[in-house]
Amino acid sequence: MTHRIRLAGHRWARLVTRMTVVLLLATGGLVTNLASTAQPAYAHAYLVETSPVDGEVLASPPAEVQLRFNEAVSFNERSIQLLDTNAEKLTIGTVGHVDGKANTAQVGLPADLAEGTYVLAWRVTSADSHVVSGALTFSIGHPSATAAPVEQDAHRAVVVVDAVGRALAFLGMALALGGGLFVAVLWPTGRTDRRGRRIVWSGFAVLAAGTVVVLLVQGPYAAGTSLAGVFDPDLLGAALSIRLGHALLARLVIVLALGVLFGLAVRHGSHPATTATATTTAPATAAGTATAGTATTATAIAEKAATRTAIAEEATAGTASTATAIAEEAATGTAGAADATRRIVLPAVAAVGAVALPLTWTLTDHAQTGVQTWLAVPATSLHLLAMALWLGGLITLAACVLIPAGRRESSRAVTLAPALPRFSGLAQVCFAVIAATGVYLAWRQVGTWAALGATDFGRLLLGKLAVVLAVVGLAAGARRFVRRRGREPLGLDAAPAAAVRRLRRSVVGEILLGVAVVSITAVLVNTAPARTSYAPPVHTTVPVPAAAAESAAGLRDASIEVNIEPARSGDNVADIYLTGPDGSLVAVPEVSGQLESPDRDVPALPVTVTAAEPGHYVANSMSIPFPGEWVLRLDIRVSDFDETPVRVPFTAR
Amino acid sequence: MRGAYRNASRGRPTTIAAGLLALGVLAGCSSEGPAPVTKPPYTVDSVRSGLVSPEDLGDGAIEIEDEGHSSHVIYTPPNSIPTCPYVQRSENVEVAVEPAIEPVGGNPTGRTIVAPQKVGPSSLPVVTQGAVVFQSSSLVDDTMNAVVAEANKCPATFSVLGGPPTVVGEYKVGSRPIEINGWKGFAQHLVHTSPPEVNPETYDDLVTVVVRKANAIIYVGYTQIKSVGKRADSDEKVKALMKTTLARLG
Repeated sequence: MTHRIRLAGHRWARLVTRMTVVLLLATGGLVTNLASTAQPAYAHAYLVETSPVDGEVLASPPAEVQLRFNEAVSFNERSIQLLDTNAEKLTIGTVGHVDGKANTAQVGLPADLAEGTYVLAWRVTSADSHVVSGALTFSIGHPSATAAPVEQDAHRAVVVVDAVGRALAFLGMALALGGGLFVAVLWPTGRTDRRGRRIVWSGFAVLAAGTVVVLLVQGPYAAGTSLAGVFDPDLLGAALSIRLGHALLARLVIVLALGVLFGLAVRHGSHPATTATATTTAPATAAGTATAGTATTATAIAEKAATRTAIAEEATAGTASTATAIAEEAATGTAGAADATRRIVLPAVAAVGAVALPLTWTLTDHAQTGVQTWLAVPATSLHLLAMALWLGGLITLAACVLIPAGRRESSRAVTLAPALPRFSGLAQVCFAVIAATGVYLAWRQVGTWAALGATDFGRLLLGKLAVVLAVVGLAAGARRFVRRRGREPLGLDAAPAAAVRRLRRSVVGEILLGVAVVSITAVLVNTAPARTSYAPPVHTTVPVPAAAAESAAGLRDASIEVNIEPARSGDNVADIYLTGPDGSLVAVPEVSGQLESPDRDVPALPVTVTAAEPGHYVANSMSIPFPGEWVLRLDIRVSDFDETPVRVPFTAR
Repeated sequence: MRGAYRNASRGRPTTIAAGLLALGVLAGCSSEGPAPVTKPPYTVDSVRSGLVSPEDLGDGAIEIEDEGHSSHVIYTPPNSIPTCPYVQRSENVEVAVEPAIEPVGGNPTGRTIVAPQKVGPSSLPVVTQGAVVFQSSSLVDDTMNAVVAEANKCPATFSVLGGPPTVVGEYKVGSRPIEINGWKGFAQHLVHTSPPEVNPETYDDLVTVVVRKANAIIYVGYTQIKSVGKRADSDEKVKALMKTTLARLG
């Protein structure tokens, strides 16, 4: 009894140790990297500079509006709209780049704009294929009532369909690449298995369908219209003219090429040489017998074909013996060339296609922008490829090997070896790649620990991590089954039917969780990275200048606490507290403010500061035009005659 | 067979542990709150469960149905939604602004007050609240738009020069958007300081939250008396309180 308890305790200790190692592996990189002081980095495009500046009051109508972004943007004729004080859209010029610079946009304005406040709404596609939008206001003569806010969000249905298309594409790639590798390489009898081929073909179809859906939806997504615009030729043309459109077209071409290659590979599956190779690698089991039977049939077919060729040659040449000799030589030569094609050319081209396929994602998504793109693109591609090989292979393994093996335990028509151990080894490599690249990519797109819980991206990532950990737990159990059973004399196929059924259930669980991971990823790639979206609020305290302290007794050793939320471009709220040495608030007659940009040629922007409770002053609508370094200048009037400026520097995301 | 069972029993803890770990991570992602007792669309009865009760406020709080209009220093109809409290007593407001909006086509719960028996700088706050439910989304949209538009007109500062000593003084108003459990609206912060000769020691710290979700609009006024020199914190407290109460509405 004591021995059993000890044994169970030992098992649990080992289990806890293993899970701890997995957890540390998964988070270790984050700990290391998140602890470092990262510079602000942005994945989606953001506005760096505008002319006129947001909120500016001009004496006369500007001839044009110019926008400068941090990265290249693309747009169409609907990307910039001008609304008057009644929220009516005004006719403006054609949108174009400033001096051909890809990170700019400009549009000419009518010369007869009346006095008042105008809203200029913009909606452009950034280099990572995501649409960003915003609005700025400027006034002519004097400010007036602002026009109604512009609807900037994409239609919900468009976003949902886009996410579904992306998820389908991910799943299709997994089935096509992972299933293809399993059927053509890992599973000796895979090329002749109809179910396996169907899975791979369906993968190609789903991948192509998902790609087409994303392509069709991109137009309405970029223009901010409804799904009704899916077949709008203008929108489709605009989608095809941008980088994402090019990538999606390239993906369709690669899918077609890989489909042809797979067709050739499975057609070669009936070739004698193929089955001979399979037979030599497979153990002498019932499956081996089945393979030999297939080989015999295939050989007979090849012989019949050669005979037909010989007869045809004979009819032409008229000499039976010569014709036979030529036919045999030709047959040998053809077989040799075909074998070379099958052994070298097909795998090489397929490998190139498999590497190129993930690039159609990574060259147009978050990997393409932000920090370390030179590393992010290959890392993301490897991450995708490893996911595809694991998930697609797992689905095919379950459908073609595990489920039939579990059902036909008496006849054993389908064997677990060597497909299961081979796939198990591949899965281990895939998990290592997924973990290593995943940790790096998580750091790159999150940046700080606080952003994990505070942003949609971070929360989605945590959810994905949770599901992946569950997958790792199930995969570890399956791996242990393979290793333990593989060491036994009779091999995997001697495993009891009950154990195989349990393995099958575990693998089905892995598949379901894997599909959940793909679904989360489809939403994740459409979500602004946490580095971009997370804006930690500013909490800073500066001392009251000595000059002010001398003017007002209550301000001696006092400090100014400034809290700015959310400290990012757009509307912000600034709370300003004047705190005495004992922590109590100290009231002054007036506090006014201005927003200054230390490194840009932007005029100081007025900030309206109003009093709240005594000693507390609030700027309820402090507009920050763009991310970067800013200074909030506070002019604190401490008496009827004395005023002291205080500068509070901060970073807006 | 024994071997199979042994292997199976070893595999289960792995699965269970992985599942628990995954659930743990997921649990870390989600915020816990009380289970909702109702869900949209709301009725006059069901929406009451999202209002502040004496138990929510703390020991010593009592609930009063606000029916005595005549006793109000600042009168607003009990079925109205506040937009700019106290402004009707001001003499120096240049724009026309209503202190409250009476909703059209809605079914109100009436106004209730949850407060301590005696109010002071160290007592519990005073909560004045109510809700209106609507039968159509256009009605609730129109009402909320009207409330927001009127609240936006509320001046940043105004004075009340005459009347009862409790309302005389300076008023400072600020508004911020707010979202609690899917309820969206605004939190309007109003600080009332009395003239130094009347009351130099304390000030009134009032936050009025008006939020909307589905077919209902809820408003909560949260008032504290604070000592001069202390920070106003009604906005933080009312947000924390409503996070609990609105969670009951689902």
